[in-house]
Amino acid sequence: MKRIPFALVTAALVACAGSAFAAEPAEGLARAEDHLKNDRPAEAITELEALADMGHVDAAIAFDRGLAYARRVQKGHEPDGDLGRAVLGFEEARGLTTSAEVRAACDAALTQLRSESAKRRSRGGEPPDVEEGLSLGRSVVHLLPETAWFWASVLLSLTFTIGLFARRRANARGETSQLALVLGIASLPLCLATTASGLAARAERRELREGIVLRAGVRPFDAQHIVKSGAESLPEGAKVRIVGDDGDSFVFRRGAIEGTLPKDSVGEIVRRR
Amino acid sequence: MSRAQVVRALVAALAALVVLVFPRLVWADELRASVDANVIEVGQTVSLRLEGTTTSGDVGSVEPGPTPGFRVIGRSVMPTRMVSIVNGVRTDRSGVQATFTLLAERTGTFSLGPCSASFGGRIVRSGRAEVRVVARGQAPRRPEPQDPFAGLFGRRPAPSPHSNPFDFLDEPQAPPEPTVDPKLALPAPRGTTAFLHATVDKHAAVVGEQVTFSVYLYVEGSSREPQIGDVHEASAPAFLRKSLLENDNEAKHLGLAKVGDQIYEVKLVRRVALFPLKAGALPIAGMTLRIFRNASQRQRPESIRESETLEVVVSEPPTAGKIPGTSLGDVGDFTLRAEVAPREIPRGGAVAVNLTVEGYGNLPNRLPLPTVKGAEWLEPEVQEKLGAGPDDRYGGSRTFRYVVRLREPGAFSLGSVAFPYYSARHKKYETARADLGFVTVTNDGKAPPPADEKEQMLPGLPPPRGGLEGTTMETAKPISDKGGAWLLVFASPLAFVALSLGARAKDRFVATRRDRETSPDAELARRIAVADAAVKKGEPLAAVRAALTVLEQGALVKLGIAIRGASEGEKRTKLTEAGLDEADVTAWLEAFASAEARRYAPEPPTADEAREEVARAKALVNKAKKRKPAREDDA
Repeated sequence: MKRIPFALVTAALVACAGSAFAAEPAEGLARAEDHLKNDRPAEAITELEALADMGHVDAAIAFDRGLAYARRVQKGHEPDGDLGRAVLGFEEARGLTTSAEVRAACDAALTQLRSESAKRRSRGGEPPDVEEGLSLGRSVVHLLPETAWFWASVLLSLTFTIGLFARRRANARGETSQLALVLGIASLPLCLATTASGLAARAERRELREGIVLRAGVRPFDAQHIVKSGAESLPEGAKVRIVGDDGDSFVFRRGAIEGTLPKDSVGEIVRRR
Repeated sequence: MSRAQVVRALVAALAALVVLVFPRLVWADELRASVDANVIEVGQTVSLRLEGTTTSGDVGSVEPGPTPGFRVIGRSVMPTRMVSIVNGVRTDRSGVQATFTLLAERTGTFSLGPCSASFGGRIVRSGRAEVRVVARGQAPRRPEPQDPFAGLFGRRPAPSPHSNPFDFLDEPQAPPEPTVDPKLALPAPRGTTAFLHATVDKHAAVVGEQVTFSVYLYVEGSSREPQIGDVHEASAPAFLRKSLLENDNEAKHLGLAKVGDQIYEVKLVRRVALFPLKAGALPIAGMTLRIFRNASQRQRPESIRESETLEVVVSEPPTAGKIPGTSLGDVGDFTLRAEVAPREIPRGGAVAVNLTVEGYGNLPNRLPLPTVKGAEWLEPEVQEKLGAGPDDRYGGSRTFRYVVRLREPGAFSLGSVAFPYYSARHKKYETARADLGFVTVTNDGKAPPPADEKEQMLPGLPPPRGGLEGTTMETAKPISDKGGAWLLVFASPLAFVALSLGARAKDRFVATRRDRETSPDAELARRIAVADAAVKKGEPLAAVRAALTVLEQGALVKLGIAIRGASEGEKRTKLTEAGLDEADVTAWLEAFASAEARRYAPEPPTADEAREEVARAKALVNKAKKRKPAREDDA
């Protein structure tokens, strides 16, 4: 009989702990936003980084984290890397959110942050190109969301099938169907193109690893971890493609530049996989 | 034409002829070519001397002309001018003295020249000079220069029958061996025909100090000029690399050098300033290239030549005496110059500040700027002029052009710009400093700009989100995330394909079935069934009729012959041709005859007779082996 109260107490404790853990992201975010409203970005950063360390992933947490770092940059005399971390937060929020409004806000903030990074590089006599343009293929894939590519392929597939049936029916009657011809010629290539784009968008979401350069003036290393001869420094807040891990370093690619960077110089963008 | 005109024309023609045939008489140009030796060995050099004078103008280009069997490795051209006044008449003569050093590449007798020189725009050619090139060790010994003081301080040489006691008054004889540079000499060659040799000017340096790396190409003097290809630069990843040559694609001739006992021509192929990026024993890998005479030799492994792998021990500059703000790698000898203009501006205006770093070494990419209240330094425009300086030191100047905006009125000191560095030459830390002086900002009567007009960093940041969005990594996956969902794309075309295949299979099944029902075999089976049914029903006449049809269809199916309506003789012939033996033919004919007789007899057959006829017909048909089908016309 003594076991029953003990079990009840244990169950109550577990339930409380579970609810506290569940409520923690919301409470932590609320505290961080309170700090931000009262112009205390450093305290907000502490709260939001703690949430991230506990593994909480949410577009709002990433957005506010980017905002907190940006506010500290705005105040001036920020520690090294704040500009890059602000870019990282907004990039993560942009990838995680499903709201077009939030995505637009992230784009606007990213434009400002990268302009500031470019301005700083320009002052130091370095090339101010912070943002690398997308390749033609990725630009095409980014024209529509992945889901839109999917439904477009399904619709075009159905259209193509209707064309096939129309042709079959016309052949049975010994006639030529213009409808079948038009549907077949138009829908099949479009269907293949949309399917390829959709699968590419899916592969990019699931496989692509990107990171943000967190420090100003960092230079790429070669495989022997020696600074590459003649390599220009990477801009703070620049996006790089992570192609592998090499111990404490990321192997990265940015345009024609390839090399390795220490992991504390690059923040990997968390995505929905 | 009068006589006087004819005489004048003849005189003019004669003058023209003289000018054409004997131009020297008119212009008084002379050009003589001579060599200092007529017999030399392969690998030795000969000097082709050219002396010319002219009264017709300045001396232009001087060329040695064709030099088969020789390579021109040196040239010296010296113009001369002589003025003489005789009996009050002044004569100006220009001239040239040129010496071409030629390296003998192969044996044989060669004719050098004619050399050419341009006198007052006209090309004048010299005569030719002949030189015989013999194999190594076969040339006659060249005469040693006479030393008039040798007998005073040492053993006097034995008098030669051709020696002249006043030889010392003559010009010294040409040296017997080609002039070699002892600094380029090596104890032994590093490869046949040609090889690479790399050097550094120092083997120990500090981080950022220039190390001059040179690569030389040694080509055997007795061999023809080889071809060079597949050049791979020396890898030095731990160094910042700056070339000190104007053109890395051209090898610069340095002179001749002795390598072992042989003479080599030496060319400079690379000279690079290397700036160490870190401390440690830093390697410089070898430079490689291929030496070949024709394309077939190019791919052979023995055509590869590689320079030595070198190592430079690099340490950090000393900490003693280090000036705060000195960055690791800022090593060299620098000066800093500043230009500020204008010195007086209205409020809100801007001044141009040009900061120029000059010197040798690793010039800085940015400069520490002074902080002045109310001043904003805009991004600079950077211009540089860098390259090789004296003693192969890398340097030049880098200018940072700043625009500084000043908002507050008053007299401001812009402070000074100081750039601390380590001077490896003087072994101490120094500072390049430039004072920017004062700038006066006049009050133009306007109110100071409001605070919100000042450029704010990151204006218009968005507000916080205000709550969790709930879109986590797990919950917000799109429908296309599942691989199975993409099968929907292929579902409808696949359904069409399945339906088409089903319809085609159905059509084929129906056609097969219809063919099977109308085939001769099926007809035979049907007739046998009719005959059996007639026997069972007790219809003897119908059974005998059916037996006849069984025989006819059986002959068609099994034997491939159509015997319906044929006479007995025709039936016999066809059955025999179908391959039946005599007994079977007789049996078939008897069966036909019996069945026809019973069918057409006045008395109808009995049931037993009908059964007998049907059984006989079936037995004959079953016994017959199947042969080729009957032709249509037979049928």
